[in-house]
Amino acid sequence: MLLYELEWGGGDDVVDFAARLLRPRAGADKCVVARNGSFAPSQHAGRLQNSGGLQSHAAALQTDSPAKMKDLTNTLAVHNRGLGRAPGKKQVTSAPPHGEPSDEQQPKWKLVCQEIGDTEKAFAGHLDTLLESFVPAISAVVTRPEDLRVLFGNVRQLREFSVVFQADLDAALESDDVAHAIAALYNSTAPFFRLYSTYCQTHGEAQELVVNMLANKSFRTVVDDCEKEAGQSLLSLLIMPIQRVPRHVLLLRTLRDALPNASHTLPQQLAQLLGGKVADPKAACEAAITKMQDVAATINESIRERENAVKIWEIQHNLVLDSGSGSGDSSATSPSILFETHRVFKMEGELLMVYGRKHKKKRKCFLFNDCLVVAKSSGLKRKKWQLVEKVAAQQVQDLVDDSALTLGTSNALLVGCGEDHTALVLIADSAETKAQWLAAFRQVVPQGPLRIARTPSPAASSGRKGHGGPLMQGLVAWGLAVCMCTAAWRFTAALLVCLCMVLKATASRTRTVFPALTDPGRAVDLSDDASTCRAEIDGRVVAPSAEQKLPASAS
Amino acid sequence: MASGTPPKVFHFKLVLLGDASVGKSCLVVRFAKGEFYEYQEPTIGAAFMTQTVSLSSEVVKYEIWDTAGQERYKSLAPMYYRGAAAAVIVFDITSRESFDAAKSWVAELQNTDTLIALAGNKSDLEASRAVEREMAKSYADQMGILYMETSAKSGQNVNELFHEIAVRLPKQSKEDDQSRGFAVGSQGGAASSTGCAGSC
Repeated sequence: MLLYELEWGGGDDVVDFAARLLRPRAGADKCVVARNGSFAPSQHAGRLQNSGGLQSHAAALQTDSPAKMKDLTNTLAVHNRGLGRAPGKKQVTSAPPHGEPSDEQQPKWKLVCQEIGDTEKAFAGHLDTLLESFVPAISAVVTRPEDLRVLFGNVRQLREFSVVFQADLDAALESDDVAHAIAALYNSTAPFFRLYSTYCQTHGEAQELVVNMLANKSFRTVVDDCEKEAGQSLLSLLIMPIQRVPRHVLLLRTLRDALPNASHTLPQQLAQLLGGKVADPKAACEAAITKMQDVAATINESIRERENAVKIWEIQHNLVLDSGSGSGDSSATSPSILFETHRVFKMEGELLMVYGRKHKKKRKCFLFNDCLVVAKSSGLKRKKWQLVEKVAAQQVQDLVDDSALTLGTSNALLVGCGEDHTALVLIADSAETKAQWLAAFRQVVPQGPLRIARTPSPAASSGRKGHGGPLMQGLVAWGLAVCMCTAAWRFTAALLVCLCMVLKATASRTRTVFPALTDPGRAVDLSDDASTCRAEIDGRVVAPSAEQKLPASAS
Repeated sequence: MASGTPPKVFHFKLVLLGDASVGKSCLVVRFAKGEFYEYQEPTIGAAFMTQTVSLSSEVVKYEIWDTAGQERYKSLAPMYYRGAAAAVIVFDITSRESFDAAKSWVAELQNTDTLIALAGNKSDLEASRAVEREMAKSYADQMGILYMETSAKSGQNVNELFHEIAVRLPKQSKEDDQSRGFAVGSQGGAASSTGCAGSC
């Protein structure tokens, strides 16, 4: 025997609707639709209470055996007892002690629905104040249309949207099935809340603009007058659309939590039987929350995108590309090296870049999702930075303080860059800063084993893309310079080092990429004279693999 | 709380910041309505709430802005504390993570004109405490900010917190306020308010 039974708390129209909905179902011998209290259970009927005042909490039970139905009804009875509900009685939530007498009979979820409507009205009222009082007055004193656009964004559009939304909300609040109607409204309207992103994107700039313009006397007077009249400050009014979308999410969450539990909390066998056939406001609410959260995330993302675009523009603007020193700034060819649609700014800060034991330079580093820009302070123009190099960070490694690569410094990290896996050693000013950089680098570098061939040297950086040759030339030149500069007693040592370097550079031509450097502690100690440590870092960074032996070693 | 002469009324904008579910909204409700609800009463949708604190010779009227629901959208938060006279940074004493987040908020607001107060909420959950009182207190002292442990549930220290903030708020920005004037801008917002949405 197949049986559908249903208990409704709604009006006649709802009962009719339920009957129409259920009758045509295949195999139903009987369809009973009863209102609250008037339901007389028949032999194999199960019933679900319209509990907690959910007016359209429709439940259809279907069973083919009396035993199964008995199980189900027992389960239901237990479930209802667990919730403290008497079967067949509409649950009355206990009213808050302070509540208005008229509210005492209202279940909490109804109050939440009411609040959704009330706060939307209040919100629209604030927008009206803004549009009717502030906008005309401010438009009279602010002449530049672009300023007005930044100040008020698409607030008029938001107001129009709110009018439509309020009308729909009122209709939903009037319906028999308030909770479900409201959840359904949010489900269908959610995409339109993206309108807020236009407003939210410029709000940060709008605030700055207001603060700046308040220095202007005529602007200030106008704003003061409006504020006195409105009883709200301009900045407060401007922020209201920002908080409105997250508020919708919170309201929906409160509503979901206040709604009585529906089928998904019933024992599983029941849920299976009911699966999909129950119009569950709680589930609809859940779906609406997800949608509204997505919208809020989209809005936030659009703000971030705009901030990113502004930030990249600022960095590009402050970056000087011409190199007075004549050192190899080969990457600085285009005047707009940063503008890429996919580029995302991650972090900036000052780090020491290690060129040698006694050769460390303060560098301003800008990390993006796809590259690292190293710049030095431009001597002439303050606040401007001169590009040193722009590399693609491929790997990052935390260098422990006693690692040979850190050259005795602490808070160092190693960054493998570019296709040829050269490495930079960067030193942060504190462990905390280092941790921040490491975290930022780890976000952007591809995951995988560390592969480093050699560290770049300033002299060789121009030719970093070609292997062997230019590097060797650079090293020889540097070695010679060192030889000429050092005292006589160091001459021999320096010469030896140079020779080693040449040998190594030759060797490195035959293997472009060295095996993983997993343990910096494995690196061999540096020789005393490390003034040419670019090359020596090379020697240490490159840990020989089992099958590949270094042809020469410095120590 | 009656005071002899008609008190001066000052308006201040106050903002609540902190991780999700540390109890920001509950604190506001406890303060604004004097009640705590295990399942919070509808107040969540309001743009802000208002409440007054009576001092000996003046009345401070707060306009309390809650950033609830926006914790994950961090880029939106600075827009709140800008123009706020005071910020209550709330963490949950049972969550170490929320304390770390509170610290980063303090760092962010430190260089603004905003008066900062740190509130370790949920002090009724002493058993599952994860942030030691002494540690939080010494941190607050070090940063030169107010620290109180509150319980929105029991009401412990909630009124005291807002009272203490009212006492500490700079008198300067209160002065021209009696005529419902505004100090928007760098002074922080001493905004007059007519309860509207908040008084629902």
